[in-house]
Amino acid sequence: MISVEYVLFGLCAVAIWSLLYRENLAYRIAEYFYVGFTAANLLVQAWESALKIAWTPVTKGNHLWILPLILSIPFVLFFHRKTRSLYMIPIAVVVSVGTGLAMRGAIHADIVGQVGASMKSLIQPGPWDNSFNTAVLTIGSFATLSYFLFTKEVKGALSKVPRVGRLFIMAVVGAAYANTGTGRLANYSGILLNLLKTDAVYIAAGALVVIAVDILRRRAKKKP
Amino acid sequence: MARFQLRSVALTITFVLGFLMIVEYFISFKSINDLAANIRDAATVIIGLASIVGVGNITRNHLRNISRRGDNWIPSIIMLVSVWIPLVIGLLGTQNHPIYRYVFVNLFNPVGNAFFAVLGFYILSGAWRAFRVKSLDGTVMVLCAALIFLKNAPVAGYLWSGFNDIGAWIMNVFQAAGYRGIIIGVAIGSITTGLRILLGRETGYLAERRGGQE
Amino acid sequence: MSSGTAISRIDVRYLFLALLIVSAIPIMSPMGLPMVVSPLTKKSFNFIEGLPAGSVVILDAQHSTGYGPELGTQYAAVFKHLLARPLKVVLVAFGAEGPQLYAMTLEGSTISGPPIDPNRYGKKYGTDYVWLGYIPGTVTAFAAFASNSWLTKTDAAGTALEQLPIMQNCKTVKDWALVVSVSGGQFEQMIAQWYSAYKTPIIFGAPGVSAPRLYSYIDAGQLTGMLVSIGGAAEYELLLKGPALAVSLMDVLNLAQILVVVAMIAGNAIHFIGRSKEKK
Repeated sequence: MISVEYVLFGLCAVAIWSLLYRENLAYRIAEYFYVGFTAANLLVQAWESALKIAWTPVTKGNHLWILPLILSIPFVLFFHRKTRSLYMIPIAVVVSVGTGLAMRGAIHADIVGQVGASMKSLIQPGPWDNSFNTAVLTIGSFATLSYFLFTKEVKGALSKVPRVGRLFIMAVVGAAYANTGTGRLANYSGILLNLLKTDAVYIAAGALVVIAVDILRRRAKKKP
Repeated sequence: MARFQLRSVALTITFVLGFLMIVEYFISFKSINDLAANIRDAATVIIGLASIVGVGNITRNHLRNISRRGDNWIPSIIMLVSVWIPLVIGLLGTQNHPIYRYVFVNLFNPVGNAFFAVLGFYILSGAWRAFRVKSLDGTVMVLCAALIFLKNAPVAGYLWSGFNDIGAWIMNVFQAAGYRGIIIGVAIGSITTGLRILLGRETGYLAERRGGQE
Repeated sequence: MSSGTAISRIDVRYLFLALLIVSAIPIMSPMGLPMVVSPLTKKSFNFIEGLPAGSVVILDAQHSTGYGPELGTQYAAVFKHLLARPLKVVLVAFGAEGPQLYAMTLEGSTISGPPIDPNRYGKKYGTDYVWLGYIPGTVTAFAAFASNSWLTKTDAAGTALEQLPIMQNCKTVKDWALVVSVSGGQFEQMIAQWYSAYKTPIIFGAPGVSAPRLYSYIDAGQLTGMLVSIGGAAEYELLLKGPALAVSLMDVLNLAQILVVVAMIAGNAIHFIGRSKEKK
C-alpha cells in the first residue's frame, strides 16, 4: 500500500528541485504556497499567543490587558486610506521597545564583552599556541575593525592594518561559505534519503523520466 | 493636521518607551522595573498581531495581480488559497486542527525543506565556477573554505587528524578574529541607528509616503 | 579556448547530476563512515550531564522547516538528553513554526527522526516538563520571558500555570539553570538579553550558516556550548549512545562535501592549466 504522505513529500520536493532543471509552473506554485502558508501560520500563532497573554487576564478581571489588543486594531485599519495613519501608534510601541532592548543588549554583549575578550595579555600561560592564538585574535579583531572605520583615509605604514583586516574577512567569507554548504547539504541529504528510500521514489523516478523526455524533445526541435 | 499630531504622538512614544527600556536596565526601582516588564509583555502581543499587515498586503497585491491577469496570476490564486484557507481553519479550529496539521507536516514541511536544500546544489556549482585562487585574498578564502569543508566531513578527519586540527584553528581563532571585528563594528552601527530612531531623526518605520529620513 | 570558456561551457546541471549520483551511493548501500566527536559538542553534552537534579532548563524551538534535519535532529537529540536526566524541562517556542515542529518531534518526522515518548523516560507532564507554546516578538519576547516566565499565563493547552507544579520553580530567569535554543538566528539578541543581563548559561543549536559568528562569543565566554549543524546533532546522538537520523545522514554529507572540495580543486586546476596554455 503506497503511503500518501510520502507521495506528497515526493511531489513537493520534486516541484521545488525542478528549478535546477529549469524554471516551471510547478516550482512557482510550490514557492507561492510556501510564502502564503508562512504568512498564515505566523498570524495563527500570533493570534493564539495574543489570546493567552492578553485575553486570559481580561477574562479574569484585569481589564487593562485589553489595551494591547486595542492598540493592534490599527493594523487592520492600515488598508484604508483615511485610517492608515493610526498604524503609527502601535508601530512606534513595537519599534521603541525593540530598539531600546536591542541597544542595551548590544552595548554589553557585543561591545563590552567582545572588546574585553580581545584585550587579554599576549603572553598566556601554558603551551606556546595559547599566546599565538591570543595574538592572532587580538590583532585580527582590531585589524578587521580598522577596515570598517572610514573616518579618515589611512596612508603610509598604517595602511597595512586594514589590508591585514581584509585577509581575516576573507577567512570569514570562506568559513561562512563552507558552513553554509554543510548546512544546506545536510538538508539535501534528508530530502534525498526520503526520495530514495520511501514511496516518494516513484515520484522521483517519474520526474527523471519527464526531464529525459523534455531533453529529447528539445534536441529534436533543435535539429534542422 | 491630524496626521502631523499622530506623527508627533508616535515619535514621543518612541522616545519615552525606548529610553525607559534602556534606563530600566541600569536601575533597580520596583515600580519602574514592573512598568517596563508589563510594557514588554504587552509589546509581544502587538508585535505578533503586526502580521495582520503582512497577510493584508499579500491579499491586496495578489488580488490586484489576478484581476489584471498579470505575470504569474495562476500562482497568485495558489498564494491566496494557501493564505486564507489555513488562516480560517487555524483561527476557527486552532493550529491543532487535523487539516491544518496535515498541510503543515505533509506539504509545508517538505516544500520548506527542499527550498533551502536547493542552495546545496548552487554551493557545488559556486565551488566549481567561482572560487578562484587569483590573489592573496582569493587564496585565503579558497583555502579556508576547502579546509572547513574537510573538517566538516568527519571521514577526512578520520583519515588525517590534521584536517580537524587545522579546521578547528580556523574556526576558533582565524575567522573568529575577523568576525569579532565585524560584530563590534555592527554593534556600533546598530547603537547609532537606534539612537537616531529614538531621537526621531530616523522615521522610516512610520511608513510615511513622503520618506522617513530627516 | 580559454580556461574560463572551457569551464563555462560545461552545463552546471551535470554537476547537479554528479551530486545526486554520488549521494545516492551511501543511501542505497550505507557505509558507516567513522566519526569523531568534537570538543564543542562534548562540552555542551557534559554541561547538561553536570546539571544538578531538579534544575530548570528552558528548551526553545526557534527553528523552521527550512532548516530541516539540520536543526530538527539537534532539537530531538537535546530533548531526549534532557528527558533522560532528572531535570525540569520548560519547552517554549520563540519561532512561529516552533509549535508544529515540537509536535512533529514528539510524533517522529522526516526532519527529527523517530518519535519521542516522554513517558518512556518516566516523565510526567506538568511536573517534569511543560510546553508553553509560541511567544512572538524575538528581542522583546526574550526580555519579557526573562523578567516574567509566566508571560503566557497558561500552557499551550490552556491549563493555568498555577496548576502546573513545574512552573512553581520557574518564575523568572533567575530560576533557570540553562537555556538551550535551537535557532536559525537572533543569537546575539539571546546572548544580550539572557547572558549579558543575567549570566544565564546558554547552549545554541545553530545551523552551519550561522555558526561561524558564534565562535567569537564562545571565546569570550559568553556562550557555554554549541551544536553545529547536523554534524553536531550526529555527535550528540553518538554521545547519547542512540544513533538516529543525523548519524544516518552523515555518510551522504561526507561524500557531498568531499565532492565540493574536488570541484573546487578541479575548477582551479582547469583554470591554471588553461591560463598557462594561453601564455604559451
